[in-house]
Amino acid sequence: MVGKDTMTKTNGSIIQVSGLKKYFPIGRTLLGKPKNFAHAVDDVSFTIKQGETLGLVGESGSGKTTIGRLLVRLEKPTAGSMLFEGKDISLLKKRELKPFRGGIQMVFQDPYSSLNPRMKAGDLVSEPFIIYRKGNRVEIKEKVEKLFDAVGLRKEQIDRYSHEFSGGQRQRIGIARALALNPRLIIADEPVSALDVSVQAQVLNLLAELQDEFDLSFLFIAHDISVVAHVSHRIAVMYLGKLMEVAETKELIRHPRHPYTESLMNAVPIPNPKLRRDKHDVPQGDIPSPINPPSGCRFRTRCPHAFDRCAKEIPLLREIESKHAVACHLFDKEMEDA
Amino acid sequence: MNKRKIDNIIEDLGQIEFDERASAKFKFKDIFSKVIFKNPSMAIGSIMIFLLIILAIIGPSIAPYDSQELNMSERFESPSWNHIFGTDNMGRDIFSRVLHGTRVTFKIGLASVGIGLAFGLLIGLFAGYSRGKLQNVLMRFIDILYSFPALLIAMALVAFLGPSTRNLIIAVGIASIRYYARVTYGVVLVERNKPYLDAAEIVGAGALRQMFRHLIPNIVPPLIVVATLGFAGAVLNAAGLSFLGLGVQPPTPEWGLILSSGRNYIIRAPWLLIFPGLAIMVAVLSFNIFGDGLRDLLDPKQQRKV
Repeated sequence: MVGKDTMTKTNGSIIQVSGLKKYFPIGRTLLGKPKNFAHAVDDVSFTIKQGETLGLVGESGSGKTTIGRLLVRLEKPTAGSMLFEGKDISLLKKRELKPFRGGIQMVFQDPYSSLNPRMKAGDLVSEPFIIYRKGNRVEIKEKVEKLFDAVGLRKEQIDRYSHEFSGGQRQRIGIARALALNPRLIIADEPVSALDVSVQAQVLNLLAELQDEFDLSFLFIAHDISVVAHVSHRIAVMYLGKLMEVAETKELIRHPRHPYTESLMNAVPIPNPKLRRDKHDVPQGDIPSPINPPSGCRFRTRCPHAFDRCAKEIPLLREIESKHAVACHLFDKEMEDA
Repeated sequence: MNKRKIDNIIEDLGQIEFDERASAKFKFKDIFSKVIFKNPSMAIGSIMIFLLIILAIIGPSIAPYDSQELNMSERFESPSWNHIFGTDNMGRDIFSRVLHGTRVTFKIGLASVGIGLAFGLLIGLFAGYSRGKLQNVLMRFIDILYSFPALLIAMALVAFLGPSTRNLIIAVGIASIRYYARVTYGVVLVERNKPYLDAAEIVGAGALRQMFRHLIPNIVPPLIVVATLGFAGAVLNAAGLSFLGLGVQPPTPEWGLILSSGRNYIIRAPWLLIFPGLAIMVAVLSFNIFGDGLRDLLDPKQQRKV
């Protein structure tokens, strides 16, 4: 239940992330000090509004999964704040976190390994109720049946083990489990990338239905910009731990401004060989190592427009048009010229 | 049995995969189809163990003589129809003593495996789950235990506690803790990184719930195998200690002890040693065969390689 006070305090946003950083220690010296750090998430800020879906795209290794794991506090941030419904959850300890757990839930990428193979579907979905002591056995059973109904599973399937389900059904179990504690924000970490194409649409539609029904906000993480564009109101593009561009979906698709976003768009396959694109438009090579990221702009090593300033100065994420933010020196130049 | 039931069984036979997931719904009727048809070593092992268990239960009541009844007029009789395993230096019937010994052996084996498994499981579970300091302290302790032979640890413990059946069980059990702890630790390290634990954490499951409700059911299958093989080891260790006089005390009929008390007469009456020795061998062998079969069943990758 979000009171009116918190609503006004948070400007209708469900979560406000600012300056979020996560550095993973790599290797240890004899004294136990880390030798190096992987800069998985480096100074990321964004907000998600009530009822909104924010898409987060990026290549593998860009840190998008780490952001999801930070938001549900499976990882502890190195720095930064995460205001969930006005309350900073970034520094809470495990015990203090318990009351907030229900508010932010997660749907996992792999529907096979994210369900305990030795537990029945019904036990998996009822576990959150048992942990939070929500009702007696009969009440919990009723709630579980309702959830099964909401995600399109049959009541008879409550007593089945997860390996008896298909990938899409397993993902439905995962979604039912995530819904159990009345969440306001759901982190969907590549929820369909492990599924058959025919099932992907079903699960995406289910998520959209549930969003309307329960007034949910989503952080939708995926590497495929076409999937993200299908479900998101706004899209944030991530590269090597930093946000490169944030804009509303239509705007971003029609007028991608950042060179990286452009190349991502070019990487979407077109089902027509005659329209096949020039090889040079898609990003070449691999994402650099997050242990030793390039100086200045992180994309400069693969950017076709890079110039000397890109190596010296980190571009800041700024609004160049209303609701369209880009982190690129090209647009600073434009603005200065104007 | 109606037709539908038969159809079900046929269907089940078709669906059975040697697969971790399939073993999650291990049903009783599967035991026969999986075990007997697909895995001969397990079939042989389980039949032998079954017979041993029957003997352990009803053995003493079908024994022709009292295991401790002395009969000085029938000393050192070689095997005959009256005494099929012969008699010992005090005229006691070896067959009856070996039969009684089955129960003693099972008691020692089960109890010591229970002790070893319970503590080993807990140590391995906490060490594997916790990471950091607790992990190091626990596993270095296990490493230290690993630097002594198990029999030596058990001997030291019995010497300290005093020889008796109860202390033998405790000593053999404690000596085997390291073994179960290592295996549990290894399996937990693998399971620890699976997303289902993250999923449990997100819905508010605390460390204890994650360990006992989520991890334990997933580490039990490999531990069953280890416990089966460990049972054979425990029987052997217990017999060894009893042979050395550090375990079961006379006149209780324990196989190692029968062996030990007959060793002075090995030339004159070799049956005093042959039959209890065979009994130990059969028991150890059947648990080893069964354990190997069980491992094949629960570890499909290894099996397909063979």
